[in-house]
Amino acid sequence: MQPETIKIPDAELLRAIARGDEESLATLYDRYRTILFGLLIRILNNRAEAEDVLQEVFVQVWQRARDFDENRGKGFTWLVTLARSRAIDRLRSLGSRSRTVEEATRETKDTIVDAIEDAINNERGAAVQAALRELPEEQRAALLMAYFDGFSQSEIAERTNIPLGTVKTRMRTGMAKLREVLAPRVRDWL
Amino acid sequence: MTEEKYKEILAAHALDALDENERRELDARLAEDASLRGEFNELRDVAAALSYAAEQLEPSPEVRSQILERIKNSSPIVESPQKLTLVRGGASPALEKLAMSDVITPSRSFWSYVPAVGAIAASIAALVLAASLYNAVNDNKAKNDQLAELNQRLVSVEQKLSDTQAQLERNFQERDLLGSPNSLVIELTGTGVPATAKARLVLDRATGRAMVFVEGLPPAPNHKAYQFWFISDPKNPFPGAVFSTNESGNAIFRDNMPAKFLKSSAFAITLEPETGSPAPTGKPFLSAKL
Repeated sequence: MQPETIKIPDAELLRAIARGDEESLATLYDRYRTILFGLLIRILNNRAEAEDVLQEVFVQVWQRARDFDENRGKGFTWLVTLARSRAIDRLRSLGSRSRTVEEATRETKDTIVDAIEDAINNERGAAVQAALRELPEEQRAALLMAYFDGFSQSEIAERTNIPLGTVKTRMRTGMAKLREVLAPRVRDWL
Repeated sequence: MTEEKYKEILAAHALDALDENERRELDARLAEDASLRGEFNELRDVAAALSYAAEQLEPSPEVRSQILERIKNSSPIVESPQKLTLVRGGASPALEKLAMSDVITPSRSFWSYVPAVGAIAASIAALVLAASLYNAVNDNKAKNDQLAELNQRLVSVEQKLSDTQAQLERNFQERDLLGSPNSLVIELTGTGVPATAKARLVLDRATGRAMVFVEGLPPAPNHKAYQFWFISDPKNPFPGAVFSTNESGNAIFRDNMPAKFLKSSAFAITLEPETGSPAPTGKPFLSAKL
């Protein structure tokens, strides 16, 4: 695995992938594998399933890179949305949203570039977690149930025994607050 | 739905947390409202940033090599020429253009190239006819009859080319889904429709991924569209994709069946309002029962 010395924009990588450039796919994988795998583990709580879905995601990136339109959104958003969607599909096909804890190991970084990327991503992770902590617990819970567990507003209302209108308000207000705090930073990240 | 209401549900849509009907309605609105779309894209970016909240973890090194091995024998897919109105029951509404397809690319037999050869031949025929048409314009009045005939033939060839390309795309997509060991093929037939009208459902029962190929359905009247239904409880059919057919009465669309409907015993296509309906309002045009 070659460390990146010059960061090629995600959109450019995706364009190259659409032209059949395998090296660009490898670069994209190297850049986002830990974030995506962490997301998949968080949703699926199963390492084997998460690795399987991670493979599917990147094979699909390979096959559908041409569908990415940078006028409609960021490359990272497209990639993360695809990964999350596949994970939720897998979760539903497994027929269970119960969470079983399975330990996922973290390998040490052996290059300085990887360590720098790690630090950047950790800093971003800290910023997102800080923004989430600023939310009232009920708003945070609604957002996390939707994003990481794949529940709709109706399902959240049913499971928590809270009126649907209340769930809708909490989700809207929570996202509005997150947007206020994170949007300026996210523009730089993505 | 009012403008205010659309804005109220944008955040939930960015989190893929809307129910089916609201999602469809908002997607239709987003397709035509650039300002709302910009706001949605920003919320979508914020939602994507939530992925940073999960602990970053390293997958096994083999995953990388397995991915690179799998893509070696496949090439990126060219975007389908057909425009579809697609609404899913799954988890990724805003990116339906991705049209989640099976990642397996089975090997192809010689005969699978026949539609491609046909498409190339039709392209050449269209170019020859187009060239003939250009020359005919410069001739005198006596050649106007010839011009009209060439024009007619060009239209016919273009239609055949479009149909052949569509058939080629259908073949590739159907082959991908059929390649899954969990796939089931179900033929829907009709009553009260032309005898040539039919549909084929290819359903992967492990994942819920489905593709439907429709042929020969008459065009829907104004302000109406066809809708697919998954039926495990006859009193409560689950709404699937809303779609329209092209001039030839054909359509292809993908859908995703939620896990609890994977044991559906019946499927149907009805005529509904153009934005779809939460429950069938018309009798089935095409149906199948397992």
